[in-house]
Amino acid sequence: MNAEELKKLNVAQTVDARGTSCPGPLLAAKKAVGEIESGEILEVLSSDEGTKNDIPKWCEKMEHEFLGIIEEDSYFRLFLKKA
Amino acid sequence: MSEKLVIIVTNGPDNQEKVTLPFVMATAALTMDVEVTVILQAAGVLIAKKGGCIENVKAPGLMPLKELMNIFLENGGKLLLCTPCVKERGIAENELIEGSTLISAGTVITESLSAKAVLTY
Repeated sequence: MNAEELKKLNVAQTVDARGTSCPGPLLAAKKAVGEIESGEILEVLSSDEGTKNDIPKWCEKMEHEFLGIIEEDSYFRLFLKKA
Repeated sequence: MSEKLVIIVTNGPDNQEKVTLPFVMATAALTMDVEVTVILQAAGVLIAKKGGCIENVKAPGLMPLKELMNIFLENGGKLLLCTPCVKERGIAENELIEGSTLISAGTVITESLSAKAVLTY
């Protein structure tokens, strides 16, 4: 999905992992995804560069659908749909 | 959890990066529902001493080791320690942090053989 499509998503929960280093964003995503329902959207905010690769790989492993990323000035917004 | 990872740590708190990275990997693996066993050998056993040097381990760019260790243990990580390495350093069993288990070589081998991958630090 492109940035415009991602901005229109109905996000069930946003987890702010900015300021944490690896594996902080993964741990935050893991916890938050346990709090939403299957099919709902989770948004992860991260300032850690490695998260851009880690979250898609994590989604692949956990069978969540990675939807895309929006790059803001100093952080990233990553979107996924819970399996 | 269907997959298993074993991580062997032979570095002690003198090498903050090498003693922290195994727990970065371990906690990352736990988020993927991978079963993780960390085996501390040689100077690595020092980080399992209660109130010990773990409190001061904060490698640049990485989370504090104490925080990672807590996450690891709270999420089902298994922490095994080389028995002679512990005894050689004069650490009593009751000085070890909760969740530590003393083992010998045979367990290292069976744990490793039952894992899909073994990482060594």
